[in-house]
Amino acid sequence: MKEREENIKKVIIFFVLCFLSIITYLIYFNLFTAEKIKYDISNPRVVEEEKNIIRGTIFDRYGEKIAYTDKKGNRKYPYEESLGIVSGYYSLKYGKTGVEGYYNNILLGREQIYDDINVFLNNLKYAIFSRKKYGDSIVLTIDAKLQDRIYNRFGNDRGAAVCLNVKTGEILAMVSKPSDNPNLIDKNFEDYSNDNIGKPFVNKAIAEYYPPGSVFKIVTAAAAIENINDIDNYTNVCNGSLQFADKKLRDYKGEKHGKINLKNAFKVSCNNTFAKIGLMLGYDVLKREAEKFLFNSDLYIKDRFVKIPIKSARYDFKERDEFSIAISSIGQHEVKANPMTMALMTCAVANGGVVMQPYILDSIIDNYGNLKYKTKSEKLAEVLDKETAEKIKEYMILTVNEGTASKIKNSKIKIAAKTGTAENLEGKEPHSWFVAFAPAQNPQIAVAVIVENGGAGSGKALDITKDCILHYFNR
Amino acid sequence: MELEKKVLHGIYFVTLLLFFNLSFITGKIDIIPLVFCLSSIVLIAYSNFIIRKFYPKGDKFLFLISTLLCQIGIVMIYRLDTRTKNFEIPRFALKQMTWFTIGIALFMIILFITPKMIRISRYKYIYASFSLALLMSTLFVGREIKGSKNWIVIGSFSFQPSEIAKFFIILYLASALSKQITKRDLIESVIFMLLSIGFLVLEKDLGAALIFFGIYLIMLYIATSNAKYVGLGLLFFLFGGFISYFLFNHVRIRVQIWLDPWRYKLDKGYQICQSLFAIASGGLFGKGLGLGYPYLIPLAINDFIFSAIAEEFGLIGASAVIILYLLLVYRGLRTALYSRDLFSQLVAVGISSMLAFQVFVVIGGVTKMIPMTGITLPFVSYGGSSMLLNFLSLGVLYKISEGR
Repeated sequence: MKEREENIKKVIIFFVLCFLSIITYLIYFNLFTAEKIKYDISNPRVVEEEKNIIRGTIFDRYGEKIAYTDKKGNRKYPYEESLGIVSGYYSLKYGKTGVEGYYNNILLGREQIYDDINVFLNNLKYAIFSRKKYGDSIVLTIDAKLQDRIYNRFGNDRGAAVCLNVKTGEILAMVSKPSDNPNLIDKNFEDYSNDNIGKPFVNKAIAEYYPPGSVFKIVTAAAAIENINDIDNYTNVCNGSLQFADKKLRDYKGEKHGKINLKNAFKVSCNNTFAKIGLMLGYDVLKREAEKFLFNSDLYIKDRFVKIPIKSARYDFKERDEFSIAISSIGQHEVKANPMTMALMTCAVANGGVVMQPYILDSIIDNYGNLKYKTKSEKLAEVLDKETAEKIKEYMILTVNEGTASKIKNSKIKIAAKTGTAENLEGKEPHSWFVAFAPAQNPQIAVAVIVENGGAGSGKALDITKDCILHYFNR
Repeated sequence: MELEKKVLHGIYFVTLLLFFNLSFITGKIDIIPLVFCLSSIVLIAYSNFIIRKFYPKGDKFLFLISTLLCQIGIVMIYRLDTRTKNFEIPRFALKQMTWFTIGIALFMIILFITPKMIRISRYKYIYASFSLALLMSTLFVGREIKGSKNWIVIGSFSFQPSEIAKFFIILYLASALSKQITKRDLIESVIFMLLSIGFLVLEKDLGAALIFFGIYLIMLYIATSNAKYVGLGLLFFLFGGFISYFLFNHVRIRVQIWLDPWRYKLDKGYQICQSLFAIASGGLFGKGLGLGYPYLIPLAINDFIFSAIAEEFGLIGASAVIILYLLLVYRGLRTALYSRDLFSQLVAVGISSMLAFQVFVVIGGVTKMIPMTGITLPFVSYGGSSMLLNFLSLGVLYKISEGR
């Protein structure tokens, strides 16, 4: 009898342990697993919760609506395709991308940034008296009209463009052609995702790789200025082509530039000269210089809340024979870049060697119009010393005044620029590149444009850039 | 005496608070929850009065804890009812309230009619054949609901025979093991249990199989005071589990879902994933009654009611429910500790461990601590047969507690 009682006590202890183990497990689950699974797409709560919150509006820098929720609760995008890649889409079926995705918590009012006691009290009032809550609105650094204009200027071409404020790092435009129309996402999602040529969901301005072509000569020129003694007195004789063991590097249309110095070679974009300089410098020096220009490094569009990765430009390859190094110094071979990284490179030249951290979130305002947060601009890196930057700036002005970019010259505004033609696949038209900043003497904006298969001589990219700059300064 | 009163008042208070909250959740002030509340309180007060008057010797906490659990269940079911389309009357809460009332009535009847416990120990073969018949019945006339063929449907009324069989198995085991146990008796009980568990596995009612097994081991251990049997049983369990994993597809699927539910989150693992989302969104304090989304959980009023509680009452509320069960099991085993004869003792141990295992298997299952098996949470989940069975067991337990 005594033994049996002891055993019943043991059973009690056993069940106590069983039940406590459940509680322990639940604590563990809440601490370590819950956060990870909470926002899984198969959790219908995510959608249910959002249904009860009126999503904030996305404004451009001048107060134009890029995305807003109408009275029926539908999300509207007045600029359709042209800002589709920036705003991203918001779909109950397919999720969220772009600003809608990255800043989701702010748009739903979940980010706790109560700088102002009034905001807090107002929110408390809403929490008590109203089921429908309001999210916060976002003001972007984007100039919607400018972006719309650039997008439409692409016409039927594919490509991408970035326009930055040189002094602050604000992204004024970030175009990727073609983009999706976020109004029609539920209808056209399949078509968009199956479009492997246009790739409307890929932000080609920051997430695609293109060979930079002659635009890269800015890097090579900077390397030459910094590393070759007496570069001002250097001259080269260009006879239109350069012979290697089994390959030949030709200038554009085989043009012979004759006796030429670095400045003029930059102006006319002489491949022969830059290939020779590249060989003089060698792989390591070129790579080091490229890395100063933020190649091979992790870059982000960054503010306090999000980090949007930029596919950083690459100068890093295994095949290092003479021909490869020669053509890498004119931005071919394995050199890769995209409009954002090239715009940052242009900023470095324009801004005396200093690159500002690019950002897209200007400010956050609550639904009463109170400012809750404003991004402050930050320095990202010091790329060049002032003298080198000034020299290259001078070359780029010369390129506009009497070189390959002379078509962009106009009476209203002085522009500094560099053209680029990037060979890609055999038998296809080369990509046409153009980078520029304006006004040349006191730069405010930097632009980088690529038109896929836009042809040699960067004609199309030049036209788009010109339009962009003139539109910006005519506002 | 004083403590019981305090607990009783506490229960009134909690019930009042919960139903008061319920009358606000639809957005306008609702009167039905207050009617529910009042009838619950009257019912509890009245039954408590009768117990105190006519059966004062028993352990009243058994009854009190169970009624509180029932109230939590009815509140949660009502709350889930408000989300059904064109909500006017709380359909399931009303039914559950009815079952609760009938359950209490049954409890009273048991107190009234049950003779001296020892006398019901005579009919062990009746219990055995009755439970086997119940278990077998589903193989012939059973219907497959929720992936287990363990339901019998008569007209609009459906019930799970395994719920009722559980009770008779406890009676059988208690009668078989409460005298001097011979080798023959032991083998007989083993064969009987093998048969019952075998049927349950065939009917894909793995949760019940697990509970039967647990009850048997504990009762055998208490009856014989021999830990060797427990060790042997566990070995057998491992062996059996291993075999059935390879033999039965539905066992394999359960284990796969348990190991990685996220891989099957849209099909086989949908239920458990939704349950985990609910618990995760509850956090420490829960969303608050009426403010979460427990209606998104499949079978929220039945098997997954614990997840619904965890979502709206949080980790704290869920732990409170677990502790209530722990107290109930403790009071049950305490009854066994003080009971006079071996038969009563074994019945009390059996009923307590039945409750304990059931709670552990359900809560462990819906939280993915152990593989999921669809069974109901005693007193809380929606369901008539389980409510009646639980009050039946509770009545017997109370009867035993009187005898100390």
